[in-house]
Amino acid sequence: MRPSIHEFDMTEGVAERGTAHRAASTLAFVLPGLPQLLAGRKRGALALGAWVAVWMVLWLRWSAVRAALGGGRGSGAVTILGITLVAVWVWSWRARADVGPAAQERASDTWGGPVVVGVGALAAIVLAALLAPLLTDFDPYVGGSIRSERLIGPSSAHLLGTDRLARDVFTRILYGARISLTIGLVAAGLAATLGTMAGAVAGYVGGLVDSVIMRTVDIVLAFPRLVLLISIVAIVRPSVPLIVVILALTQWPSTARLVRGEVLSLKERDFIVAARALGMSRSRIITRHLVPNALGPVIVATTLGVGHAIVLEAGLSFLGIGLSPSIPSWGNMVAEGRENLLEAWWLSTFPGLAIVVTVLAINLVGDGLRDALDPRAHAP
Amino acid sequence: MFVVVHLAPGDPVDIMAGPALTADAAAQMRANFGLDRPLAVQYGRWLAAFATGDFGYSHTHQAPVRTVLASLLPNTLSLGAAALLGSFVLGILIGVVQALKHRTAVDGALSVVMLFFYSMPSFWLALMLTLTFGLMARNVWGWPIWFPASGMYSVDYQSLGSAARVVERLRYLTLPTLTLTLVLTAGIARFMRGSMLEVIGEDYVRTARAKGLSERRVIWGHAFRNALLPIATLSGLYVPLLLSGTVFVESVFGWPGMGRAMVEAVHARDYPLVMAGSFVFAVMVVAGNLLADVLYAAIDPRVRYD
Repeated sequence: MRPSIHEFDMTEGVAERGTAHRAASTLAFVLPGLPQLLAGRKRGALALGAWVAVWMVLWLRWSAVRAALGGGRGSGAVTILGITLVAVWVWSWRARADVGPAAQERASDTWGGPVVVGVGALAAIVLAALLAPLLTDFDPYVGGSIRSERLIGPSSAHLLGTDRLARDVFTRILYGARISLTIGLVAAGLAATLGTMAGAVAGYVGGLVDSVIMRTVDIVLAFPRLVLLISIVAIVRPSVPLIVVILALTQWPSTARLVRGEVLSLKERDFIVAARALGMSRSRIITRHLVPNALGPVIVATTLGVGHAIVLEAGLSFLGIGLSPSIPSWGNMVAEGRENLLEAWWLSTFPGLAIVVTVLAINLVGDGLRDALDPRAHAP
Repeated sequence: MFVVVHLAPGDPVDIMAGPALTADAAAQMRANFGLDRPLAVQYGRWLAAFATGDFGYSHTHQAPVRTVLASLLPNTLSLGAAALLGSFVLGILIGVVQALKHRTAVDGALSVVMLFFYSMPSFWLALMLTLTFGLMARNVWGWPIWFPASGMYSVDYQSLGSAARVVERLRYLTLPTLTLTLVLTAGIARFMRGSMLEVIGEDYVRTARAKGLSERRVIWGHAFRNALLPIATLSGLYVPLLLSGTVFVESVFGWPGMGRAMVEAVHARDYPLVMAGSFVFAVMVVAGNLLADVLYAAIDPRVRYD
């Protein structure tokens, strides 16, 4: 897009590329991500951020890391720390050549600023959830002394304060992220799989199958999703796996509708007609030709679906009809804090803020993906 | 759905009676309610009653479900209507501003703010508003203006004059409505922005400009009115979102509406109320969809249903 001087002066471009390349190779080793960032590739910021974050953890929380290495709690987290380090390094090294103007143009087309912010925030949250045992000295379930450490406001010892059982709120948010993120990701993934299969079959096979599937979809979608969830949890007190299933069961119909519409229009296209003429089986046409081509909108919907699932789980838990209150999910924490709202404002505020930041990040990524993957939904 | 509800452990008798009840008396109560019959018979009876508008008896409210819902529905509807109105006015305004300031800092900032509220769980926003404008403003900071955090009116409501009553109702309505409005506005604003931008690119807008009309008349007379068309249908499609929102908001603010009653009914295993409540919600969603279609046909002369 932007006319660059390098494109016109070939000789200078080559010479400069040589030195830039050498410098980038060195930099890629010491500060991965920085050369790519300097060259205008926004995702370099992610690599650099991850790199800095890992070293910060190693430096500031060395005692915890050493304890974990010695067989204490959090050995899994140390492995993840190592994997992150190596992954960032490898990516930076392999992408060290991507510093020319051409690469710059390529990169700026696919990854907008908001997407990088969203992906970065999401990566930070996921990493924080995985590294939880290294990031905090406290236990999410067992509090300190009820008499002296109960309902303390945010301080240097307890970053986000303590709750009425003297448990550290920051710690509980970190461990709560594991629960909330798992629920969101698995539920949305399950719904996407189910919805895609149902929608593709309904759209391609048609007839009675189509009617049965789509009437089911219509019925489920006639209820506001929350109301449907409420009537389901009226029956069963959900555990974590159960709430995942329930969320997926109420989410798949919209995916199915999306995929069916997509498949109906793809079905008449030449390449599908050709596949049929070649004598391919129905299942092969559906899985190999229809589904991959209908996947763009599904990916967008699923990304946003992760956010919806997180909010809905939190909402049900907040209403006291979701996960058992002993599980530190974000919704449960907000609900618990409600009982001490005036004396301890931090109890409800911070877990809620965690939900907002996570969902905001997911929505940013979803919007970015929509612009990239869904040609019809291009924002003007 | 009926079958699944009844597969759940425990039944209304357990909850109504408590542990002191003898087994004989419990069996007698089950027989009275027809709970000892086979499930298929129970289902048939229930369906027949449901079709005639008899939703059963709510044991928590000690009244027929129909009476309970009839008394709660107006509260939910008034809250919903206020929020729908608020969010559409605000959303349309913001959308138009964004479209006119397209690709400027104002547009970007408004987008970010809207996305922020869009990503917010309504129950958390409700709590935060309660905390700041309900509790802190009154008890800690001592602001002259604060809003009640719970209920629909205060205990001395009956003793107030009519003007004071209106003020009181509005004060109690403010925070719940504000919560719902903020959460719903984002989607409407985004839609309005897109719609407005699309219309501004149309030929008739260019024609209006070419005629020499003032920019104000072009925008408000030509572009705005046409951009409103798709928004009108959105109002019907927003019903499910609105209803989900009322469930949370009613629960937080102690608003005596259907959403809160349903949540309480779940806690108390008051199945008839849960079933009838979700049925009424579903009816409202379908009605919303219908309204969207009708509005679309009524407003846009290009759309005709045969």
